[in-house]
Amino acid sequence: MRRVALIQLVAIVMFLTVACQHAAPPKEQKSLLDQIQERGKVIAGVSSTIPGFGYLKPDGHYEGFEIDFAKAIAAAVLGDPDAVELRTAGMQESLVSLQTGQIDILFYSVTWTATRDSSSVGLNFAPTIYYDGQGIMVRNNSGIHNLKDLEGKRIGVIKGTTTELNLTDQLRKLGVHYQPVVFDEWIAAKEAYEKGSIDAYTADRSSLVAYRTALSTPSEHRILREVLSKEPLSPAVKGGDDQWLDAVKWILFATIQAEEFGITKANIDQFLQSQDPQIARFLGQEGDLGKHLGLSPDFTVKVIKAVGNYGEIYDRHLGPGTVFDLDRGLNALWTKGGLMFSPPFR
Amino acid sequence: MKWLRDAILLLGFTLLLWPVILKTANWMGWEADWSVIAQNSKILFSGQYPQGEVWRIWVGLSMISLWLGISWGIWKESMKRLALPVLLCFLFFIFLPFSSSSSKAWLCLESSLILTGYWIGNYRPKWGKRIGLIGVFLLPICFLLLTGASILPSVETRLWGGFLLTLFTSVISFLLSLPLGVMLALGRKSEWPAFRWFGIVYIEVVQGVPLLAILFIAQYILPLFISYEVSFDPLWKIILGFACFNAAYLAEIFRGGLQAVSHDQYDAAKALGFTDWQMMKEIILPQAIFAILPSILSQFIALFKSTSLVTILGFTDLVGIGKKIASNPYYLGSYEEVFFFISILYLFISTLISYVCRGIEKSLSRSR
Repeated sequence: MRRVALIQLVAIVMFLTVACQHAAPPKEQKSLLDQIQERGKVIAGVSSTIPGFGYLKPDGHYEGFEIDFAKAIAAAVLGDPDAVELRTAGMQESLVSLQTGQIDILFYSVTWTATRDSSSVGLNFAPTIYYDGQGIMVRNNSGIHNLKDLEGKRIGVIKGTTTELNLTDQLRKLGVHYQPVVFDEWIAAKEAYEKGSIDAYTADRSSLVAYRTALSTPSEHRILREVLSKEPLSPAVKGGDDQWLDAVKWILFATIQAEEFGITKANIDQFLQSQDPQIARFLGQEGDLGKHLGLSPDFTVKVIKAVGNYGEIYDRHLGPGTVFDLDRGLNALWTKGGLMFSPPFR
Repeated sequence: MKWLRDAILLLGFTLLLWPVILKTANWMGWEADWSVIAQNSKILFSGQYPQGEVWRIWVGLSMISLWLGISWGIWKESMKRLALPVLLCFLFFIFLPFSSSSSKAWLCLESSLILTGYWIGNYRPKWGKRIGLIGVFLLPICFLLLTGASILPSVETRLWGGFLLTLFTSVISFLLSLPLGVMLALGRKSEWPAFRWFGIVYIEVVQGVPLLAILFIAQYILPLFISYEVSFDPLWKIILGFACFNAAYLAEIFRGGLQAVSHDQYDAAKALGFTDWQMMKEIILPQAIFAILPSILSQFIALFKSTSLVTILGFTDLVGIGKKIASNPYYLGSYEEVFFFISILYLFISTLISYVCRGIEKSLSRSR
């Protein structure tokens, strides 16, 4: 038995040695931007079950408002909007993948909050691409016109969301007593709502609009005017990588600035001849804005040729031509009373 | 008076369930809009697998069909229980109105391959050993065909999805967990304390942790500890997670099987001068495995159904595809149709396996 014990000991020591070698510290830090350019593709976490924002088409390709922004990043960094690997997972899992560096950027309708932005969570947020707010959907004939009318009503909400917390906060402030009914998924809530076992359902307003189209008679339902919370939906990147964050920021700003200039996918070639110094600088005909950001001089041109300006992306997925028919509202340009504002490109 | 009792029971149940039956039938026939299944059938079955490369899946399926047919011809009864329902399923999809004409043509080929195989197997009953050996290599070959094996254009596993992914993940991780389970079971009975304790601790720990936690660790936490150079294919990380989880349960089943073999058999083998290894291989394991085959297969059914957890980890198996289709603005109201269809697919596979399982049990009790 002596020999057996010795063999076991040797085996354990060998195992530990190998394990320790594998745990050796990772290679030196390089900005994600350089890593992506070496790798030849952007790895983006996206949502795949939020109607309008990210979903799978029958031909097996993803499409949606946020998917287009992921493509814009790939177009700017690598010159090819399709050089993006889209990873779809649950929200929590995606946040973990971002923190562990398995994805470069996350487009998951993530609400920008102080906690998430803090260094303890370790995320950084790029500019907001969609300003949303929490709303409440009720039946037209329910006699509910504002939040006060919700006294004693049953309100459906999805478990563990900021939505659930906002609802509690807002109604407690108003002193309204209500009965929360918590669901795991929208599909269960929809059944309950249609059968009348809940009187109201609360979620982000953009989602409510989408969900309303899924009801058997959408016209019998409406969304209350009151907005319960601020939900700035923003792309997130891992903290501590300024170069990558800057590149992402300005790629997103470029879509907004392009709309302000009136540059679209269709007319960009005319703008390339423009004598206006602002536009020439924006499109990389003059100056070296792109170079400072670690991108090509004409990255804005690549973005617009690939996905168009902010307004075009919005209209394609959420605007009047779609089932959602969402009003621009807060997401209009600052010149039109909205919040979409790009700092100057200079 | 047996018939009277049966008739009353039948009548009672029908009356009780009549509203449900009526409503379901009405929904299936009139209210439901099955076009969502028709338009999405490609992604339901193969996910994002590139359209131009789908022929590889069909070729893989053809090989499996031919193999199934031949083994049906050779082994008759027990394989018939597997081959015949598969054949019927192919025929069903051929006559389904929404199958595309190209998939109908492929399905005709698959069906005829099963029948041809049956004919070949009938004439060459001595090929049993060869066919069994080919069966072992069949799945790895199919895997290489589907990924491309650096000859054909490569298709990453992250593009696999739908039914293909569900079936592949469950079958491969199950096959991997079989040897692992045997080793753990033997280790637990080993005389070497290190092996025995490893076996006990592993089985206890894995059985005490939820599957989702294991998958989560395999996918997200492990890369933090292992050097950054090593990057596994994410699908294989998941498959390994499933295999490790399943192995712990299989080990307990195997242990039961080993204990079910009478102690006289061990003593007899030792008296005949068998070494430990020979004794296990020639005498104990064959008996143990046949005793526990039904429980192993029911463990497979459990594994098959739990693969839907991969959705949370970013893979689009059948359930994941269903959720995604239902989020498409054009199909927003079609949750019911999509999930009804998916449940039918799951039900079909699970029922098929338990049907095969019952066949094996029957032929076993006959051979005893």
